[in-house]
Amino acid sequence: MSLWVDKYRPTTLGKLDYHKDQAAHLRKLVEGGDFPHLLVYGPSGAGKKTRIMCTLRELYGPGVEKLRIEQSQFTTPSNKKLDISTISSNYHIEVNPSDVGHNDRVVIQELIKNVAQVNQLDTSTQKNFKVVVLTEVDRLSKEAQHALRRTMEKYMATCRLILCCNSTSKVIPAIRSRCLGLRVAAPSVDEICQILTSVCKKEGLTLPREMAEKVAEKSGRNLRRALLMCEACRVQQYPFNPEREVSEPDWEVYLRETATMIAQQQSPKRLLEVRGRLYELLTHCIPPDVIMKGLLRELVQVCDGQMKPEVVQNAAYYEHRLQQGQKAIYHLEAFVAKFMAIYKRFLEEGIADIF
Amino acid sequence: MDVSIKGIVDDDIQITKVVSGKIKKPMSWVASSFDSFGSLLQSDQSTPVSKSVSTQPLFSGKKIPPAGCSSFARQILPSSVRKRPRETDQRSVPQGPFQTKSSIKTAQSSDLLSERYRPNSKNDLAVHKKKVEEISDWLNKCSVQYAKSRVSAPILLLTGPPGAGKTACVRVLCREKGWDIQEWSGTSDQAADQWVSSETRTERSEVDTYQSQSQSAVFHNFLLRANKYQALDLTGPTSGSKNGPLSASRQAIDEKTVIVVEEMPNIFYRDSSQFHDIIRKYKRCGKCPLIFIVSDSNNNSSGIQRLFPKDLMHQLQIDSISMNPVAPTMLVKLLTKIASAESGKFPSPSASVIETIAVSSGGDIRSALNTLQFACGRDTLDLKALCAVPAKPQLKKHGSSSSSGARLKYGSLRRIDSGDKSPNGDSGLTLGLKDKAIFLFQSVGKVLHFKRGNPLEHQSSPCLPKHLEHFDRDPLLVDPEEVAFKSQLSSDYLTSFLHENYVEFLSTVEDLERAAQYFSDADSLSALWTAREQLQSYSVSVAMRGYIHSNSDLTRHDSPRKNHGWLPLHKSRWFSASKQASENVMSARQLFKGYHWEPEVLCTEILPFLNLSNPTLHDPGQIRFVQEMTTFSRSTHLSKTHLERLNEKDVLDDIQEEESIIQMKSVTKDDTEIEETNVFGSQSKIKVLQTEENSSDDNVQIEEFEDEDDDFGEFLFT
Repeated sequence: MSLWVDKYRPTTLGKLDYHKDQAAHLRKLVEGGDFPHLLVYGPSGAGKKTRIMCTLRELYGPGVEKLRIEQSQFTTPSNKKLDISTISSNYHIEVNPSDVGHNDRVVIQELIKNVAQVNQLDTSTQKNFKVVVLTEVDRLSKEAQHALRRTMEKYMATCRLILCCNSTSKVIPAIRSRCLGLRVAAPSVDEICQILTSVCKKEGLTLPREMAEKVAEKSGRNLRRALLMCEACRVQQYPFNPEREVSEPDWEVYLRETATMIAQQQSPKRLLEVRGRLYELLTHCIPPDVIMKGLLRELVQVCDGQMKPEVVQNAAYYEHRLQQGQKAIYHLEAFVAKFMAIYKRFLEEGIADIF
Repeated sequence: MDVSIKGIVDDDIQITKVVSGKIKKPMSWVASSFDSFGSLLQSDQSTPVSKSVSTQPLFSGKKIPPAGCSSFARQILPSSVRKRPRETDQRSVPQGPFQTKSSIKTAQSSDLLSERYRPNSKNDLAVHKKKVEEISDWLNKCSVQYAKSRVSAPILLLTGPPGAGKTACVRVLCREKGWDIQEWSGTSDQAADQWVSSETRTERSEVDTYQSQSQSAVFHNFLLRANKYQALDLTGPTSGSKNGPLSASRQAIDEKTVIVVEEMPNIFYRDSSQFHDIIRKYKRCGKCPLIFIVSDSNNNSSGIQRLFPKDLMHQLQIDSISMNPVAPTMLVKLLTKIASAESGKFPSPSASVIETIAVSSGGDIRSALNTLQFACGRDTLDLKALCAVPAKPQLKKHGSSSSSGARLKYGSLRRIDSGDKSPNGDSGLTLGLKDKAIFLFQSVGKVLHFKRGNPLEHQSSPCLPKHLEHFDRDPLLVDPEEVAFKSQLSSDYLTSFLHENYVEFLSTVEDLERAAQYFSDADSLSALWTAREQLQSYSVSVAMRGYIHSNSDLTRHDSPRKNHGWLPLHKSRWFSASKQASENVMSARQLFKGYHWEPEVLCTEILPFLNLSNPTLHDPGQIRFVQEMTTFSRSTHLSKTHLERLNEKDVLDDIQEEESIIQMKSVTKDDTEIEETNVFGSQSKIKVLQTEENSSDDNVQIEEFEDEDDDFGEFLFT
């Protein structure tokens, strides 16, 4: 049984539910016979990958849907073996280079070289280039990005790159300027509601309007999450009851509890407990920036109006550090300590004001 | 004739003597006169040109034989590879076919103080009584075990810094108990030589075939043949032991053999699995107790971690005793005794010189004795002045030395030196001063329990302006950079250990805020990989000094210490956490290949909702993994299982070190994955026990920890 997210994913540009004019542009681009490197960006769950796959199908026909998963091995200059799994069809290859961490440069160079060295067999019926899809480009190391920029130009004749990321701010300008940027905005709440309703209809379920809105609201305009939530609700209770709380991922609940703990008490002992929880989150593969964002979202709610800017500014500061540094825990903890100090000062002032 | 002498002062004083020139010829020709190498030396000393008269007693350790005298080389080489001259036990190691060897050895060993005053009885040992008892108990236990059942051979791992008296201790105890020692010492060819000569007594060709064997095979042979030897002798009598008193007595004699292994064949450091196999085999069929004597060090070079991993220790019930460096007071006593005994040969040095030697040796008896000999020998008397001049004022400063009962400390000299900033403060001490490295536990402890000095005693630093007065601190007594240097760890690693432990030492949130900020600074300092190598040392400095400065409880030298109690130090969780995380990502991708999501989406969205919606997952592995990934430990107090206690002698785990190295993106580092191991020294166990006992008066405990600095020996048994 596949998830609804996979099951009802549109496969052609024509079937896309929103951003239709963008789909039309893409089609025109493909019809032109050639297209530049693409940089597809936009928030999580907006449909970037869906759009990329639709474009590929438009390019190569249904053959592109015959996917196979392969393990490729690369060797670093220091003789370390890197394993990375790639998803490929005859026409394209998709890879997430950030899987191999800081060795991503090797993967980028070797992989693109391998792909680009072989021409398309039948250039008369097919396009004379292959496509390499790189996901999570914003998590690439700087070295890898610089390697990419050279590789992009070198193999332009035989391959096109489609880069996919959440934000272009972490992509070096050199790469941005070599690509056609394509922003996929998050769907609006209304659009999500429509999609949810139509999906439920296809499943043979009736989704009350309020319920759809509630899920769409809760998902933060993330379509994937909305569909997953809807499916989870369906499993937990059917017929849908709009009164019922929409369940959330466990780690979000856990993170909220952690934030409450921070607000409750400010002491070294509490910081240790919080650190334990942060480690717990990190070992469960929750990315540190997501943790930081989640903490801030919760903590800002307990803050007084004047405090908010200070807290947010500090969060931004440490988030920046997080990206620069190596050990996320230092920066997360520093933020927590900072917040504790600010909040404690605030509470003490409040008490002083009362008397 | 020219004689060049090269002194290498490291663990032992090793004097490499290169004899070249005229002497080459007579040696290669007059092979028959080699029965006394000493006499040969004496003869060349008698030549007026020679300057080596005084250094003759120092002749020890490595010798490079002149080229061209092959038979001579054959004899000398085996012993030349040995780290230190060791008197061969005449009973256990049978003489080789060439009588020259033993005579050469006696010639050397009688010259060295450390050999001449080898302890002969328990009372002579400078090792702490409790440690001696511990080893003696173990030996007793062995004989008891032995009498009861002969299931498996007891194995002991004896560790300790070099020169702590490990070997001497075992020898003396075995002699007193009447145990025979079968010793593996030195390299394979020597052992093969010994073995062949003792076993088969065949001619050279046999020796050559043995030498062609691999080291591990030779070692294997040594252990198992020794064992077989026993077994052969024993299996006969054992069947009849119940009835025949004769065989019983014979058995009693045979029982009393201990196999002592020092200086493991170095092949095992590369491939420890071979070693493990041999030990396992020995454990299975061996009879007599086996003692491994290994010098420990704070990096992995000694390979204790690798050779004796925790699971193996547990599996084979290997006991472990770790020795401490000899306490300085004991060492002073010993040195004084020996100096007075030797007073006929050279004027006995003053008390202060002896103290300097004792302190600078860092608890290494052998090195101390060598230094004594070197410093006070007939011709080197001028060194004495060098040695005594800087030493005297320092020791006086340090609580008018041992007479008043103040304890000598190994670390004290260096520190006062660096405080005084005297330009040649260290010069006297370079004589025999060991380059002391400190363990991770100590280095973290030193920074966390930092001490401040009285500002009046130190040079006054420029005053801070009014608005910055709250940043004023008394001068530090710890030099963080020195600690970092001595710990010999990557700064990355040291910082993460500090980070794991600093929170408990701070009491206010403001301090926390500042300290945490400094840790964040430290990390971002070393962020840029191009400059990381240069900036790393600064980064650890920022972290350490940042913590120290933020600790507002201890701004003054006399500010009262918070009653922390004993705070155990923990291992950094970052490395294991990040490793675990990457493993989880890998397995998530592996298990949910079909979904081909990016790991972030997979972990933050797909998996949690899979758990909620619980669709029929195809394989139980997936279900288990999803559940694992979505359950969080919610215990409010810190679960002890997550915190791994840092032990005193824990060293850098290779795997963690490697990670930090990989992160530096330095190429050329081969990845030998070694399982995470740690040593549970008996010492740390004692310590933990002690702290539990003393939990009623925590203050005392803290004081002790701080005073302890380098001499654990003193601390543990006071």
